[in-house]
Amino acid sequence: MTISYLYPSVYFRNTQQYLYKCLFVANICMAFVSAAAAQEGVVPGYQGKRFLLEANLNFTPTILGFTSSGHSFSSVSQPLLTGFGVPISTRYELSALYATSRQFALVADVAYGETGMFVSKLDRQTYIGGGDYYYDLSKFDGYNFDDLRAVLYKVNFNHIGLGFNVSSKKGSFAPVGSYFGMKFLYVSANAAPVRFLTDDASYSSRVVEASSASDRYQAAIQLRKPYINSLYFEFNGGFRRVFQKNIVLNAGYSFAIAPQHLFSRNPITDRLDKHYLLHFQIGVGYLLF
Amino acid sequence: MNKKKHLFLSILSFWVATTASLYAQTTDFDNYQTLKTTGGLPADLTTPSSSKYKAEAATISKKAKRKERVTKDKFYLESNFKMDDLLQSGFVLYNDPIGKYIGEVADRILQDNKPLRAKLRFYVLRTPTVNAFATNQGMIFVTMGMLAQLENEAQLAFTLSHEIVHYEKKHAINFYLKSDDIDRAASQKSVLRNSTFNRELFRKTFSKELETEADSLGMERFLKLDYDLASVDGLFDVLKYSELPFDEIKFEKSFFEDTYLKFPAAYQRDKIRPIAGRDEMEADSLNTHPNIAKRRAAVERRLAKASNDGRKKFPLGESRFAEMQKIARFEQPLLQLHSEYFYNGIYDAYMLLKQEPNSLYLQKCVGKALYTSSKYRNADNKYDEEIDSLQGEFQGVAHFMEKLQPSELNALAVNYNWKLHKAYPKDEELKVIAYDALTELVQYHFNDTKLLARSLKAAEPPKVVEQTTKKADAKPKRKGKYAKIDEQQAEKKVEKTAENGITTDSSNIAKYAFIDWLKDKEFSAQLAQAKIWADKNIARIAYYKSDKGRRATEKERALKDKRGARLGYNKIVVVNPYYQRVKSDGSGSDFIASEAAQTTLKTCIADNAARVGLNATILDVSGVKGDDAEKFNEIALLNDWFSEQIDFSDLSITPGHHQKEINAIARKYGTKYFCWTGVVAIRKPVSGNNGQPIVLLSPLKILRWLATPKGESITYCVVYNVETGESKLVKYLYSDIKDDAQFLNAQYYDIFLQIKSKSKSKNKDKATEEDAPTAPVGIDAPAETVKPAEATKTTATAKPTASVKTTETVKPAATAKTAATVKPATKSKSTVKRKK
Repeated sequence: MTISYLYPSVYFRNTQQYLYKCLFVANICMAFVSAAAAQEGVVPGYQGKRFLLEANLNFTPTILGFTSSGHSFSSVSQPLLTGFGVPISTRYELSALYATSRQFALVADVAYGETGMFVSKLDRQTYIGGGDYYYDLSKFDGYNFDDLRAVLYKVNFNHIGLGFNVSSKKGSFAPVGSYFGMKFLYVSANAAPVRFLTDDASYSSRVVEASSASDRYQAAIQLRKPYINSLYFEFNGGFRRVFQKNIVLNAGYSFAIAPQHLFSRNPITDRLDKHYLLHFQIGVGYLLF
Repeated sequence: MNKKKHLFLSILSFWVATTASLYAQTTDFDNYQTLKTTGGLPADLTTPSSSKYKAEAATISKKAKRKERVTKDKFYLESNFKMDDLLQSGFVLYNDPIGKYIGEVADRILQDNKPLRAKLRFYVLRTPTVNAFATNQGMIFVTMGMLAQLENEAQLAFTLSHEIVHYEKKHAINFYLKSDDIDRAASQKSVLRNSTFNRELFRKTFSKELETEADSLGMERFLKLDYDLASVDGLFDVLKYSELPFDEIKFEKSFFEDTYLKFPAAYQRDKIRPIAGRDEMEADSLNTHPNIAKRRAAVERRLAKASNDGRKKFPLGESRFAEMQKIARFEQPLLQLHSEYFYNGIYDAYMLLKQEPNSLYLQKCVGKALYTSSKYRNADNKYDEEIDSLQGEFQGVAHFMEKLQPSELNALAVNYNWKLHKAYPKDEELKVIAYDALTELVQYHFNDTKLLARSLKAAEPPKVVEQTTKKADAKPKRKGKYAKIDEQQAEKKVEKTAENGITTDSSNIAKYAFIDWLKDKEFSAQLAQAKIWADKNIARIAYYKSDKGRRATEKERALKDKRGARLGYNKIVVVNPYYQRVKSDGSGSDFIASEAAQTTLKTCIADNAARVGLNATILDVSGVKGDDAEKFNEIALLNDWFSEQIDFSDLSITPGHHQKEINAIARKYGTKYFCWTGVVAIRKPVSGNNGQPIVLLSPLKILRWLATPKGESITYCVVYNVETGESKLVKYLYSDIKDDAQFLNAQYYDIFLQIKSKSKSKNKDKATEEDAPTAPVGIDAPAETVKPAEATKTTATAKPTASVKTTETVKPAATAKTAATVKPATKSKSTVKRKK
């Protein structure tokens, strides 16, 4: 897993943008620390243990898009790409929870994931016009652009999240037990073309991967804006169970939306919106103290 | 040789009888102490219920039909666990003098059947009701109420013979099997279908057959003994009049009067309703027993053929029976109070005081009954019994008590208890009662104490009312109440005349009660103090009834819920942690699972108490060993005390009926904070919504099902200061979470942390001071006894008592070896009852 924040220059094109992100994080932190200070519960935590570290796997069936390897539930019967692939998008997440009262826990997490998106031949116009995509004919170096039937973009993304969990049932003590919660996610993503499909010379109705020319295609086909930074609001729920005093198993779900994407869209935000829409989560954690 | 042997046996019997007689006479009725369990505890109590069940279940023949095997297994399971609930409740006495006496009578009955005698155990049940019963396991219980009513040893012997037949013929399990058959038949096409009446009719008919058999075979065994046959008929009188007190003595209101305190003549009932008892010919089709007339007739038919020559009423000695009976009767008043039959308690004590006028115990019973009744009436509670429906002289007591206005009753309670307090100034229990009764009087009836004092000083002593009573001069042939019943039924009327008293103004009656007391410095001082407390109580009540007070209370409660109680105690005693796992279909207790869960709960309590650094001692009856009689008695007393607190939670009854012993227990364990806690839980069957198959559920539901099958539970925890009766923590949580280890750990960690942690606003030394029980109850701490919320600190010196280390002191992850469920006697609503 790549912790992209160690290399901010990859995602942030200038220092100002990076500072904005830092300020966002700082503000959210302040807000939650204030909220935590207002809680005066005498018994936070499970058996007095308030701090939980957790590794979660988030997954969702890829129905509305493609995985980074180009698989999707919607194309299972007629796969654009041959070869084995599970049409499930995943996200890997490290969370830290701190209970501030019986019912309330602050959550911070970092996550990394990848997904994919296809741009098919029908969409070629988008490359030619002044839209989200462009191509550099000089990079084709004699190859026929018309042979290109589809392009698979791999979208790498990560986020940092800050939020809270509320124990949803009487008798549950944060951070374990049944919960629901909300998080602000600051998502950073970039996309790059990774696979190219051309017509199959043998079967006119089939496409094959144009491996021989992929480097050139990759150089020639680009998104005008191959990265985004965006804010999502995530709503989640689930339950955590304790085993052996300290080990915690988590199972839950989440769905997130980015309201600002109603006004400002591009192919990556479209893909991420679909990806973040619904996730299931399983994880394992440890109650530290 | 035989002659020598007889001589030796005679000498031996004489010696035993004499020794027993001397021993019996050593009972100090002036300072009577209620019966307690002594010596080694029987295996009936110390063996886990599941072990008993397994042992019995192993006896089921594999050759029997499946239906029979299943039913028997169910019976053994239910009967063992339910009987253990009774055995552990504290209502049963072990190795007590009366139980031993019953055992000796049983020895005589079964002297020719030693193997059968070895299988039987005889116990006394601490209840004022009249009953005896046998269990399938060989335990025979006789109630204290019955022992108080029996006329002689022969009647006891016949009762035991009857119960022995029940055991011998396995009536309990046979009735269960039959009942099950009837239910099965009802589920099929038969006349029993959809007819509860018919089913009950069949069941009760069978039950009557068993009772008739027990009477018949019991009589055969009885005839072989040397017991007086004529006494058997009297036993049916015991049953007929079982709802009456153990004796019939005219109640005189003068019992409560003195020079100044006089009650109007109207308070003395002049016509007592004649005693009819139960209808001997009552329709018994839906009764478990044949009616008395049938039983009496059947017995008489058999007795007509037998000779009564050489038979005795008291083969073990009349004095021994009399001693046993007297003890049983002495137990009655307190048992009546425990059962909330206050008028019965007063009357029982009244009758016994005629014999033992110096008995502090009896006087205290009367005092406590007056005090509790008064508090009950002051709280605007009303009795709903029809006095006119009562029978016998008891009607006189009930009439008198009903006639008393709340202020008069309160004044009487003060007067009676102050007299006792002055007579026994070292008795702390009496002191607390006297002080609290006075505070109540001032608070509810005479708030203007200065005016009261002035008017009393100026008052002239009222005229003493003369009463003349002509008594019938009939000479009863029998002793006790039966002679008097005979007398009454022979229409020998007792004429009574009485003049009117000084006044019918209840406030004056109440005031005059204190003319003498105003000369007493302690009373005057306490009256002034009572005024302060009463005013505070009145102000507090007014405040909490106001909108502002209500809002503040709600806010305070919400804050407390959020922050926790923060009691700041270092040491508590957890009494009988209770766990009941209900079957998933809600059809009753899952006994085996409950027993296992009980063990888990104790471990959980120990573990979590240790985690928060709380010194918790678990007093658990399921863990008592054979030599733990003292601990068993402590648990029984604490259960009684808790039961009283629940019953009168709205009255703030300061001292329990066994407060002295409770304080001693608190001192022994080094804390006055005792906790009653438990869980009642149900785990629902694993299925989706509306029972849909798992495969049709959403992935999330599947995940949820995998990790958390549904469940519901109620966790309760009450922490009391047992010296003052104040509840310090009341937690009642309903949750729809499965009662697994995570849930329990979370709950009990939270509870114990609330108990252990202390508010920052409290003094550092507060917790230490709080932990230590004050030496005796009420010493300079009346503010606590009346429980004003804002009571000022008094000069009470909390004496840190040397903590007594016990073997049960909780250690981390300590695991109890045995477990069984004990149901704390909890009642949801406080009511004051009286027997008709």
